[in-house]
Amino acid sequence: MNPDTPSTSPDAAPPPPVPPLPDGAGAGRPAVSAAPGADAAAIDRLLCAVRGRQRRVLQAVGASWGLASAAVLLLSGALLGPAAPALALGLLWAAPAAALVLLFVLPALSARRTVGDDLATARLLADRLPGPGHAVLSAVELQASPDSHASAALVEAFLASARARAAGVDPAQVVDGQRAVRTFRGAAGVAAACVLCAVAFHARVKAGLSAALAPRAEVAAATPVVEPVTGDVELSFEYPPWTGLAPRTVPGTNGEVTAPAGTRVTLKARADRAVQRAELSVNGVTAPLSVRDGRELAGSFMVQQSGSYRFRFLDARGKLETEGPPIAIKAEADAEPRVTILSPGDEVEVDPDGRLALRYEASDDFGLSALELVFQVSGRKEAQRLPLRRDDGRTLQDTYGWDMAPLKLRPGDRVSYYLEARDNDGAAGPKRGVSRTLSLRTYSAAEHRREALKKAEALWERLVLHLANRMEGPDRAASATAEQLREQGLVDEEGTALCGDMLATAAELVELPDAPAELSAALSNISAGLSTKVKATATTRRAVAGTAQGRTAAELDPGRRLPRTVQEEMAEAERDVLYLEALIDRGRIQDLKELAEQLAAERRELTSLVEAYKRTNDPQAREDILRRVAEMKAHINELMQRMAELARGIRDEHFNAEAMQELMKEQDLSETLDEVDQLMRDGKLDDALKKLQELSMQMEEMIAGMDEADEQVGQDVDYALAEAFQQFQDNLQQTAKQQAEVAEQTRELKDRYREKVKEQVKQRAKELKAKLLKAAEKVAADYGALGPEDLASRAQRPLEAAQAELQNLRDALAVEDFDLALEAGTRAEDAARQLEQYGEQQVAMDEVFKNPPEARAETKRTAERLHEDARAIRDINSQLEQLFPNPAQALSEPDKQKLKQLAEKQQGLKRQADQLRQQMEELGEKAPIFDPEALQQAQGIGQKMEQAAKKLEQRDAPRGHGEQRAALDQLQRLQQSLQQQGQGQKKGGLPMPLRAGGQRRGGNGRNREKVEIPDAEQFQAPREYRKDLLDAMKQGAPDRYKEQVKRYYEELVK
Amino acid sequence: MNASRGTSLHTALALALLCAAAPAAASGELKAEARARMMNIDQHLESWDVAAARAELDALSALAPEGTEPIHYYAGRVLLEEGRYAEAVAALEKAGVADRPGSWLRTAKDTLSVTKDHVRAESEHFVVSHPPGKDAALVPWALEALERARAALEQDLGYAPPGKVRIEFVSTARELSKVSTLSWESIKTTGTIAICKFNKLMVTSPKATLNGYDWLDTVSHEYVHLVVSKASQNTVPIWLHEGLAKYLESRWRGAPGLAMTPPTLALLGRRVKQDKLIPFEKMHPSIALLPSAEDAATAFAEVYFAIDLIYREHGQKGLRALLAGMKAGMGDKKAVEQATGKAFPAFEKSWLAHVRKQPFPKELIPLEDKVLLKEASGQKAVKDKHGPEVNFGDFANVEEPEARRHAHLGELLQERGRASAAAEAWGRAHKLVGAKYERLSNRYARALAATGREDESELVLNASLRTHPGVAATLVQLGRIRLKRHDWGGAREAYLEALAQDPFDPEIHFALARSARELGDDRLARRAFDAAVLLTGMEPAKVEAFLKQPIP
Repeated sequence: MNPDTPSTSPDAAPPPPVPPLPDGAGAGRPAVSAAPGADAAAIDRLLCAVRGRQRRVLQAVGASWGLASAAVLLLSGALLGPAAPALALGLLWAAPAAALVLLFVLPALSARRTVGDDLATARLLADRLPGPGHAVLSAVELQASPDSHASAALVEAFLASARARAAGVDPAQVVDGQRAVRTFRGAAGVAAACVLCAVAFHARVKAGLSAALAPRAEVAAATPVVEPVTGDVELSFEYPPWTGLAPRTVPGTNGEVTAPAGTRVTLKARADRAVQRAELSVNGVTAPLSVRDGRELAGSFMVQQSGSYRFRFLDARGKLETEGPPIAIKAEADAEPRVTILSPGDEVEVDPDGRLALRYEASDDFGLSALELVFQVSGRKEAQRLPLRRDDGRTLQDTYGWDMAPLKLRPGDRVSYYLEARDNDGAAGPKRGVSRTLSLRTYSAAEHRREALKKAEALWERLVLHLANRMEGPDRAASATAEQLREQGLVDEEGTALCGDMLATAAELVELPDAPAELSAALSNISAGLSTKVKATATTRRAVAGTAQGRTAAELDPGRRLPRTVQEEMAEAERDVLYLEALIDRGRIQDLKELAEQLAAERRELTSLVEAYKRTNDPQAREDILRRVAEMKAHINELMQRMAELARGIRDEHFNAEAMQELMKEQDLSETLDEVDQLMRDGKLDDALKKLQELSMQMEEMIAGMDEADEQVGQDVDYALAEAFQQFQDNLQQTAKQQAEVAEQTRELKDRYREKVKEQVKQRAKELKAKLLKAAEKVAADYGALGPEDLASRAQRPLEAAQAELQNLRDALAVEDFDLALEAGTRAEDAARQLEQYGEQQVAMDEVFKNPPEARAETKRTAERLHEDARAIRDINSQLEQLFPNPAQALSEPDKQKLKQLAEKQQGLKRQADQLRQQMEELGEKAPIFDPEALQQAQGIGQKMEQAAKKLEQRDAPRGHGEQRAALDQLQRLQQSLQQQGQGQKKGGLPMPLRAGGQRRGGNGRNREKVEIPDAEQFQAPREYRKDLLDAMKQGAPDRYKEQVKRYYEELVK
Repeated sequence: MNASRGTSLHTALALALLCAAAPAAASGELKAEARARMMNIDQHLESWDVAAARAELDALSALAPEGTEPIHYYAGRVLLEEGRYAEAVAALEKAGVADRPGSWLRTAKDTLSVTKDHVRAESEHFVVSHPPGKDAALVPWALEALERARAALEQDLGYAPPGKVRIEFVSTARELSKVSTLSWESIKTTGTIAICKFNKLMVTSPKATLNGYDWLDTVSHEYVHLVVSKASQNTVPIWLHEGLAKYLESRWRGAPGLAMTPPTLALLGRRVKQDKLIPFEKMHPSIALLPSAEDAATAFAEVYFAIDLIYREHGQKGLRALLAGMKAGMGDKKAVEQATGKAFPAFEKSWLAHVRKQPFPKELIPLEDKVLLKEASGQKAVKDKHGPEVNFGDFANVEEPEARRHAHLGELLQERGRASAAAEAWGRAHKLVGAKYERLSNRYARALAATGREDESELVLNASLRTHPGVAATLVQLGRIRLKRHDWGGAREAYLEALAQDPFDPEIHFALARSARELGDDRLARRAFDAAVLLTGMEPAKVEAFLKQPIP
């Protein structure tokens, strides 16, 4: 930097203005203009140089803009050529014009605006370079208007200084050349982009240029002929064979041709004048036309590509006389075939030996040449293909029954698949179309069980946290304040929500094939038990804490009601946590065992394969073995992972890493498999077999360990529980057996009585029969009209029973067997009473949970109907009973004696039933094995037995027997439920939960129905399931969870 | 393999070879001398007198021509006992010994392969060899304990082995199997952790077990075996051997007889109550051959109290007399009679009375499953508690159903970070079973400490240590409480005890370094600091910085 050059920093202070010259100083001074010399020229030179540079910069900028705009216009013209030739041509012409204007005119105009005279240039200088600039500006101003008062010497001194400073200024410092450089770069970039674009689309650009330039000549030439020269054009199409289209003739057209490439078009037309010769010009290629009678023209051409044709009339010498306008030819492209899988949806589940109904639709504009199902089983290298039926039509909709058995799939395998169609394009070759890829997985009972376990585990986790919240909460502290107690209301709400979710999940699991039945029952039972306790806690809290302020629990609750209630809830939750955990663990161990057993089977297969390979040395077999080893490793890793998940314990102590590693190594079967793999690759077959033997031993040890764990699983709950449960089962069996014996003896007495009074009853019942039949039919019709939405799903069983017994009653009345009719009526009355109770319960629930008024009204109407029906059945029975004379009078003395003894025995049985109920309650205190309904059922057994004993004491054998049968039925039902729940369970093992009201479908892989392949319309939740959910919904939820719960249920039933 | 029978067979064979190889002019006297010397070598090795065997071997070498196979054979045997494994392998190979499982050559080779990279450290009377790496942390403690044990046993038994005794730490049970000739299955099923054989102690590093074990007592226990074997010229039967070793194993840390654990005492108490003690004659030929692990444990406890009685009534003199008698060729009963001055039946009677008056714990306490052997033989299988079976939590061994329920519940709550609730659940379990289960007490104490109830926690820990002394996890927890209270002496005591079980827990060394500095115990502070650096792999400066942080 020149040291004289002042800083151009914007912060620098401007130089001081030139001081005014003192008075009289101008006398005798030389005139500025009159003293030209070398110095004076320096300022002029500088000003000229600055102006020159300004102009050059402006020209450079103009040239850059010209270059860019020309490139853009040229490219645009070229690209628009085919579509708008006229516009394109305009653009092409505009390109050089724009370039010239921008190169010359724009700089000139700009120069006029920006390049000024000396003064303007000096101002620019002063602006850009304040130091020398101001000096030059002052000098120029002085020259322009000399100050007569200034001292000449001073002026000269100043001018000398200004000139000296001007001499050191570089015009480049004043006029920024960077602008020109930047503009040029930008323009060059645009031009380069245009060139690149032109290169990339050179074909299009070329065509565009041809179109833009060529038509002008043609159009110019053709402009005079605008009217058609032919009429009555008839077109006959002969399609290529691959299109499968029949030939067709279209008379009276305007001549336009639309057909697939390869179509031969034969045309006939009538010329508008007499012609000697005629021809067709098809896309510039001529084809002769035959001329008949001077007017009738005929000829043909092959459609190759889109374009146009025109009629040309020639004179005898072949000279063109006239020609018609161009007529469009449109060569139809053969589109790709389309294929769609209509059903099933993605991720469908199938049986490994089942059949999947694959509904599909395939279409092509000219027909399909092939249609295939392409699929790949996960883990297998190659995709496989299955040809599907197709017809000759252009659109096909069909269903293919895909047999899974040949695929030899294993449970849980996944298969991805799609459909592939090929068309019959004979011109460009067949094109391919594919559907979207879907996948299916084979039904795996284990996966379903895992899914169920996962759901149960999530709830269990919440249960543990609920318990922890209770334990750590202030509810039991005497020092807790009312506010603190009220805050714990949140835990109450969470508890209620948890119980609701458990109930919903229980219902869901019932529907899930192969989900462990015990999980569903346990969740249901836990929900029932815990929700009662949570409600009790919440109620007590409201009573204790209410709206009190600043008082402690000791003051508010001197009787310690809340701590007691919370303690009871905690005890319940603790039992539930441990019991549910044991059930989940049991399920997981069984899952592990299955996986381990599957691995053992795979190991055996692998051994056989290695042995076979040893004999055959077939390289394919070797590959197969290595693949199997890889599969087994994947399964082992899965097993290990699950085992690790199951392994629990707190790890807050120091453990020696080496020991941990060794322990893991000991348990790692995959290491042995790695060795097998390596030995196979090294060709050491005997060693590989030895390793497999070693693996077998490791697996046996593992399975034995799991068996042991399975046996131990219930111990966390209670050793004594299993024993007590076993005792209960034995007592139940004993009681049922004894009840059956006593009932049988009573039946003999009853039969004797009925036989005795049979004729007498018949006489009495003659008139009554029709009336009773009518009444029974009315009730049956009423029950039949009840829709599933009217009743809770639990009521379905008594409803069915009532209907069946009413049918029996009518049948018996029809054959005038009144004894049988009374028996059926008694059973129908039982069922009707249960239905009546369900109806009442629902009304009460509606009130408690404040269900909507319309729902309440509906429920109330149903309850009234059920009440009426039950009353009607009671009436029927009452009238039937009156037909029979007093049994006590009709029995012999020994029979009466016998009845007395039976009454005593029945009393004894009643006591046994009470003990059973007591046992159930005691067991219930240890674990949620029974649901409230089961307990109610047990109570009902006792009541029936008591009734039976009373009737027997009154010497009423028929009614006594009826009660006995009812008690026996319930006992057997309870037994049956216990047996069902305990299937596969060892004697003395963890007691399985019982849900008396629950109905189970499928499960445990024993009675699972084949998986139905869902049809397009079947993607809806089962009706009964939805019903259960709706029932559950009616139970209500805490306010802050209501919306959440609603959404959850809505999602579930979608 | 039966070692002595194998040896006799080899001697006969060697003799034949030697005679055949001798020059034709060799006199009958030479043959006889060679025969005698070979028999002597066998005898000395059998009597654990390696120095004498070496002397005989040198003499034999002078008699026989160089390169004779029998010389190589005996040289190999002696070299193996001297710990010169490479030379032993070379000699045994020259002797043409087959390389098969159980052969001397295989043993020498295996030992060489296991120990070839070992690092050696010595004190005045011991040489410790160990795998490179973190086992170096064991060395100062092991040498110190052994020197103390040596001095104490010399007083008790009047004998100390000449020269330097070798202790070889091995990394895993598999390595122990290789160097000891015990089968891997046998080691796995019996839970054998250390063996005294081949004129040395072979000890599995505590890092091979999840929580360590009482390794310093174990090293000392094996050393007692070595001393007894040498002092008696290997004439002491296994049952008395075990009695002496168990009784004297605590000598490195104080008086004899400190090693009897409450669980063993509880078992003995139950057997006394049931009148199901194992008669001494049934302990022949080996306690390990008794029908059950519980019987074996009972027998060990019985012989412990037999030695205890001798020591209480006759002091060190009694023990010395016992060894001297057996060294002189007396049978075990005779030797006992000589040591006690009573007929054996009378001794048995007084022993029974002595056992009966022990303060047995009221309840049975779960036994530990460690087995220490002078020389392993078919010990009945002890269930491997770390087997591949699925783990159902830490309280599966709690026998009382109600307590187990509460304990497991506590575990579930603690796993979810709910210490306060867990403390309540464990508190209920603890109330039912007291300090019977170490793990339960420990968890409970931890949860109490975590919720700020440190005084209660300390009570629980102390009660647990009375029932289950020396458990590292309990001691570490106790140490934490003491550190927090700035009870430096108490903390040092707790952590030192913990170190005797779990020397690879860095926390112990950090805590020891901290408390030792506070107490001005520079030697301990330095040792613990070095161990902390070694075990954590941290830079010394970082360890230093960590030690300067306040106690959480």
